[in-house]
Amino acid sequence: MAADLAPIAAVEAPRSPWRQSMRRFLAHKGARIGLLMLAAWLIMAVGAPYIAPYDPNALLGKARLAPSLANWFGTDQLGRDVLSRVIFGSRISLTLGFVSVFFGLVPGVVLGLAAGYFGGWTDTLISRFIDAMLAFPSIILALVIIATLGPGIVNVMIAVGISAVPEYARLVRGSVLSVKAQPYVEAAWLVGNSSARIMFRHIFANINGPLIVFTTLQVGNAILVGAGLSFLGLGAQPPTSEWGLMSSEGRQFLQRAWWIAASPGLAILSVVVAFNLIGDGLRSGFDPKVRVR
Amino acid sequence: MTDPLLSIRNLAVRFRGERGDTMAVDGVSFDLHAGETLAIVGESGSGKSVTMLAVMGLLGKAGVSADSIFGCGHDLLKASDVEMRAIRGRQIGMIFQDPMTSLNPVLTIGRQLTEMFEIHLGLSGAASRKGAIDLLKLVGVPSAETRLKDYPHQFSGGMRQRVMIAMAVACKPQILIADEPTTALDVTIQAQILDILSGLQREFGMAMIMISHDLGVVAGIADRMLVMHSGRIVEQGLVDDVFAAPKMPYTRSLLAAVPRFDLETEMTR
Amino acid sequence: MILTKKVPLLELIDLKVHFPVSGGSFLNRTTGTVRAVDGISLRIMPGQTLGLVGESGCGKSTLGRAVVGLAKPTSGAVVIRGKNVDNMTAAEKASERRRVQMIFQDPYASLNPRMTIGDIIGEPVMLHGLRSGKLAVQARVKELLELVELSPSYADRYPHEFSGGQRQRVGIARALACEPDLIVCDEPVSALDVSIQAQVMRLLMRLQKDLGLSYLFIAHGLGVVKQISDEIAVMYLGKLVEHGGRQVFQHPRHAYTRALVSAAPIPDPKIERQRRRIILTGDLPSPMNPPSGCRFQTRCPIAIDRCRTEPPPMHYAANNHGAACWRTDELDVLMPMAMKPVPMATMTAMPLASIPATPQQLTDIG
Repeated sequence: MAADLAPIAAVEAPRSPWRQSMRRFLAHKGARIGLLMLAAWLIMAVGAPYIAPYDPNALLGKARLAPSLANWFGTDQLGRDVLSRVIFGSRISLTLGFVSVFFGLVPGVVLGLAAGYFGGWTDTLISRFIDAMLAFPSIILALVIIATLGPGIVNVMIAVGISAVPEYARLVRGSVLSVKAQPYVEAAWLVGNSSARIMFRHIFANINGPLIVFTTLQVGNAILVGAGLSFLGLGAQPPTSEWGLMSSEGRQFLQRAWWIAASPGLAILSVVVAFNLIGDGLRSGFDPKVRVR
Repeated sequence: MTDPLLSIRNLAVRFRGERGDTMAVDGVSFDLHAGETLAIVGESGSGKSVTMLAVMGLLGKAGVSADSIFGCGHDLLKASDVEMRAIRGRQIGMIFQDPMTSLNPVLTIGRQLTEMFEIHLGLSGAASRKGAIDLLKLVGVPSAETRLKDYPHQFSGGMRQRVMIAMAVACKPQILIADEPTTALDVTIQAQILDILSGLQREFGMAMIMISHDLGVVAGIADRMLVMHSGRIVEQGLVDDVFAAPKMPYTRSLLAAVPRFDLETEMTR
Repeated sequence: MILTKKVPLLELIDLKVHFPVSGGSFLNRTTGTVRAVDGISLRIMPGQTLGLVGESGCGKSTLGRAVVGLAKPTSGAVVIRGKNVDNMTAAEKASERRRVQMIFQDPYASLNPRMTIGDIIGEPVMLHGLRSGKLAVQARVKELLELVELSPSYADRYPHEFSGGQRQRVGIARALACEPDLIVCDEPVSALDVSIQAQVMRLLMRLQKDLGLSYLFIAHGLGVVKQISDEIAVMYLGKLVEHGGRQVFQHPRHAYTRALVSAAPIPDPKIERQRRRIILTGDLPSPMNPPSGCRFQTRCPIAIDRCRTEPPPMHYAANNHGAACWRTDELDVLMPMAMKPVPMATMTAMPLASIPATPQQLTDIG
């Protein structure tokens, strides 16, 4: 028949939009760096007992030793090897980052989907709730939740997770509203899809992009906020080698032994930067119009 | 035969893409004479808009090459940005398809019109304001004085297009380029706009280049036409000749593809 | 013996679709109503095509959406095969919905980018149980792809791999997958290039003949409407102003239709040169505040006092050609048609069936 009927892209195998996005993501320079950094941290977290030169709680004798060949990051105020503590601390921070995200993602997506799809009173109620929550900076929200739950690492995960729910809900609601207006969603209803099928197969499948990008950035943010709560003494308790706690403990030594606070600080920085780079890469992967180098 | 007003030889425009370069325009040559209306016809991707954007210097220098581009006595190929800016508006006016994106939404219509007078003709104050009012009357905008204070979003689509035309002809340019000026408009409004364009052309003695995919519009307003496809000119000639006896198969198929409502055809069922 | 009267496939009885416009930020008070469809009565018989023409803002798209159920009627009735939609149970509505489908205007937004075209076309087949078992559904998908002139091997591909015309074919296949009786075509070719338009129009017409479908064909282009329609209706600001057979464009009986026909460009320079255009003044009034009496009176070149006070009813002449115009009998004198129709024998244009396939080949040979 007509040559118009050949697909415009001469491809051998079907290229799903997902695979195309991943390809663009991996082509992004920043994303590759971010992935490398994250991989390094994951290896350190998993292999901590084998990689760390010393036991993180072992007292090595001399306190506040400057960085040297024996102790790359020096020793802290009690004589523990800072490098080993940082390496072991990655386990806590990374776990916190990944787990807390779920506490925010699941309720946020459910609320956002409901508000966006059903509209009406459901939407009004949920939106007002979101607006009220968003009036507070997420750190304040996290503080309030921690104050209710009491200190501890697990509670920090819950608090940090829940404090992100309003932002997730708002993001999802906005994406749902814009997708809902598309003709293909109307067509889906017209050919006989049920509400549930429309919500998941047609709407949710198409809002993945912004959601994944946001989640990636949230992991970094969660680690930061978690460290902040621990810094304030509300998270991990001594002698845990959690980065925020380490920074807090090293604060009074900034003049004389800066490496005690700086090392965990740099660790936090590098992890958050890694996630941000990955997030940038994902963003350009999902939306090719955004040119981020 | 007098010298052509616009003369283009072997224009080529290359775009860089993810998977290699594409030639949006590939060896296009044509002339435009004073007072005539030339239509550039083609489907999407034919390169008809890119051709004129390149000639006007709106695509930058990168990727644009030609043996020569002469317009209104200037060498447009070698002209600097400053020179091009002076030529655009003063000697060559241009109107686009979507007036909403071509008009600045935060400035009043009056401001945008008087700007044309101030920048290109050096008029100011009362003189440029009067010029703006006269222009609006010329293109048929009712209550011109009061409408000077209005913003683009307060006008309907047809009215916005009239304002765009007014801006384009403010300095009585020698050439008016219209890129799909009526595609987004209803048929009855389109008739009004085309009427205005013909009237202005006669009044100011302008030459016009009309870019369109609508063969009906071309048949009504153009003297000569170029048919473009994939960046090349497939056929050119007088409109009467091309419509009556198209030489190239592409032109013939294009003409045959337009369904006619005025003919007593049997329904092919 | 009982004579069975032919039941119209679709009947609209004084259909009105109004949208409230809300202003104010907190309380969302209703500040006005857009009277998109304001009292339309129409009928489509099985196997027939009704073409609906009008300019932007006339409400034709809203009418189409009300027919398929995407827009809720404010009053009046939508009757499908003799049954009023309002009186149907939810289950009946769901099964009737299958039989009235739609083809959308924007080929780039009417297909789910995350689904293969095989899934898109197969979904209705599966949802309505029209074939049982995965293999049967897949075979049906391949059948439908062939029906719309696409290769069955494309079933695994995604929409972004196809051009506008091809995507529109997928949209048609999806509608056909529901095995409908009536398809509402909402500007199905407006977003396509001219040569692709012709191919898709030809496909639609062939499908109608082969499958016995009815179409409600909504468009603003007079040429495509005339090409495919048995009957033509003209809308203006939510109301029907003219309705008749294919001669509506030849010999319009309403002032607006005359203006529309005289304004529409014709791809023939000789005809264009001698045409006398009826240029309408002014802009379209707002559908929130339609003019009193005849809605067209603010722009009509021959409006009289009666037109401003009394809305004219739709009056049908002997040949079933109706117009809602007080001065319909004076039109030939006051707004003469400036061109005579050219009979087919003298046409030099090629018939549609022989439109060459590849423009590429054409420019190389010639």
